[in-house]
Amino acid sequence: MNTGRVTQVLGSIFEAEFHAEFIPALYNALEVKGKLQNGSFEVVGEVQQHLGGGRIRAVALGSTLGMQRGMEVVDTGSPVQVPVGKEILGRVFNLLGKPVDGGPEIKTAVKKSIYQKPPKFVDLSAKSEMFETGIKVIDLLCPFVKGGKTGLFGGAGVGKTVIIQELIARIATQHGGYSVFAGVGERTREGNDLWLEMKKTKIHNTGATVLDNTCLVFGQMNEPPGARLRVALAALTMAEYLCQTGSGEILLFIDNIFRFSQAGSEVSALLGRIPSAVGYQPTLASEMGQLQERIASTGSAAITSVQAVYVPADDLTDPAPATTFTHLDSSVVLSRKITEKGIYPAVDPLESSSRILDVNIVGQEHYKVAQKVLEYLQRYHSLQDIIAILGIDELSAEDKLIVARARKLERFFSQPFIVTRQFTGLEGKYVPAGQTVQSCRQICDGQWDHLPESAFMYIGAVQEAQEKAFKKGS
Amino acid sequence: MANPRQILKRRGAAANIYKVTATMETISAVRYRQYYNQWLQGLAFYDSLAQIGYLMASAEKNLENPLFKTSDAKTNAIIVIGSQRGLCGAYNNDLYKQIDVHLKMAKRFGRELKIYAKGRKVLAWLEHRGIAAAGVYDGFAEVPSPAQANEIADFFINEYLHGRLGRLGIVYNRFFSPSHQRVQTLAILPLEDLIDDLTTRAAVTWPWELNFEDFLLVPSAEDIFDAFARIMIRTAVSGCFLEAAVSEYLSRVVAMRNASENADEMIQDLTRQYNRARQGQITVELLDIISGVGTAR
Repeated sequence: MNTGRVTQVLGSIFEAEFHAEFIPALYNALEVKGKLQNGSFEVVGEVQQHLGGGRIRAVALGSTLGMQRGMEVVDTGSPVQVPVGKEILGRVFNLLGKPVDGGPEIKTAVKKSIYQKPPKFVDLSAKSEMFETGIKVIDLLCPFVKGGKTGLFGGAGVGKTVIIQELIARIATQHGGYSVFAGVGERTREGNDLWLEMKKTKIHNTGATVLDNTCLVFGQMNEPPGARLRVALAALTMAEYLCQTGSGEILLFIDNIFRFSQAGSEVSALLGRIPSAVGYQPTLASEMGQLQERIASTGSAAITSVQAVYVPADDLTDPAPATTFTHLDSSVVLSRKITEKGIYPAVDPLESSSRILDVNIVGQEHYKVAQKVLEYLQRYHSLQDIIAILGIDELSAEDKLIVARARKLERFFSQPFIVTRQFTGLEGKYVPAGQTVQSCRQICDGQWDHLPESAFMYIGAVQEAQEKAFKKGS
Repeated sequence: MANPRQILKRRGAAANIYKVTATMETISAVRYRQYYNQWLQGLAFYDSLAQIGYLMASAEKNLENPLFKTSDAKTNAIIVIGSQRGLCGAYNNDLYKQIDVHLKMAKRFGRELKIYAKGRKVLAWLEHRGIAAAGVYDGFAEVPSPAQANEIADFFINEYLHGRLGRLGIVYNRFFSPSHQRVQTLAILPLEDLIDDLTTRAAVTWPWELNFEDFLLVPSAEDIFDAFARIMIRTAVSGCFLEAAVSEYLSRVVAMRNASENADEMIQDLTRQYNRARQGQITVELLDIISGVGTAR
């Protein structure tokens, strides 16, 4: 067994010395063990740098509380390995593959390194098919791609986690295959809530619960940066294996990918790398690339992923969200301005986009209606300054009509959610994409001009606006 | 956080609007003053007219005049006095609502409604609604010259006398006082309605201890009243145009003052945003340099 000694500890980074001819390879997992006055100390680290001679620098994947110079470091000879296979379903893990739900240790036939090669260039599938969510604004303007990557961008408190949970409630309950949820650096409580909720919820017309087909991996806010940095990879490894050996289709939810970049930046500073723009690590883009390239669909296996992306200070040009943007098929941007109007989901229709909003994929009708809707909203947006200064009376009759319809569309894009029933008191609404397209076309054509704006808030298909207006009026 | 350059651009646009609205406010205030004085001078004349109108209506001797009699023609007409330009708040919008009311009423009572319009804004609205104007007054800016006003009035008087016109109303922004203007329809024909309006408007008290019958009239009472009836209609027409102009300039002053205030607020807001964005950018750059130097050392 190749062993060395701890020579320096710097927060969550430590240095160790090995025999110069037997230094552990980069990314190898190291086990640090030692005795403390009251018990023993144990932590896993990962080699990050070779410093010359036998010295290496590593990041601790757990807390370094109690670590001392001189403690023994054992090279495990490989990167961190996590259990994979069907046995992991229904369980909750940390990034090392250790269950954290209080259940027994997992014994699987196979363990896999959290570092895997992305699929080969030639194997990637170019299939483009829409993935219906039943959420009106998403299906119409930024449709998800089957086997594709979707990002939910948003600042603090605009509803990213709610949308992720709603998608789990909508898709995972209908979806036949398996799902993997990675909790990266978010609230620990939310992870717990999700776990309990999944235990309760039954999958559509089978006896099984959602949890039976799901595996959760958590490295939340309470964990040191090393753990938050690698937890997404651990979850991804489990998802990849399930996908290759199982149903071939898998859902991967990551909340929140920004924490991965953030942890990387914390580690990078401690490793002594020169910070790049806005203090991020100089390797931001390549780290993100290594992770995102593995979330890919090949001919036989498709990973559909939904990632929440925190946007610091609501600035989409911040390097972390900006690097994430480029990897996605569909981006849903949540905006504070829209939450201020009380419209949830607060999807910004003009910022959000999807690769498959294309005549050949979603069809002529859907494409035309989406473009019309965007045109109306864009016009309304550009008139907003004029309205603010001169008042709505100064608009021409045509512009007034556009503004009225755009405001209706804006409100129509609010929707009651399944997971928010306890807050809103409204039953969640699933609106098929076809119906959404029809409804929006009718609003654009002026078929609903006679109804007040408020009738369009929190309804399903547009026909419900009539009822709502009637109820209010009587 | 928005891009500082975008904020600057928006602020520039708001500043340009501010310049326009502030200038417009000043100009409109001057024009308002002019028309207001003109209107003020006319008040005494209206009072006298009202007195005569009262006298006519309350005469014991029944005066026969075709302009007094209700006509059974199936065609009604309205003159709509709108503004030539926008930027005057809800001035025109209230007119549109009133026109809608007239259209509905005409439909309900099975009458044909002819609309005679003044002002580009009204014409644009009519066109948008697909209604053809029966006549357009574009021979003057806001207020017709006396000759032009007479021409307009005489046209309708003739139509009425020939039984081609059932009722005539003027839809305009009536100027009651500097703090009160409202869109209303002034009924002009039959004349009885107009006299009603005149007498309720002015505080009319019959000044003499005399009755109508105490006067010796040459030429005959009928002839005099016929002339007065025409004068009343003509005056009402030109008066409406004047009042509409006073209201228009006043509402433009108010609208422009509000717009200037809004623009000013927006400029302040954007300046604040811009300063914050700029300072943020500077801080980020400084931090980048400092931390770069720190780690490179």
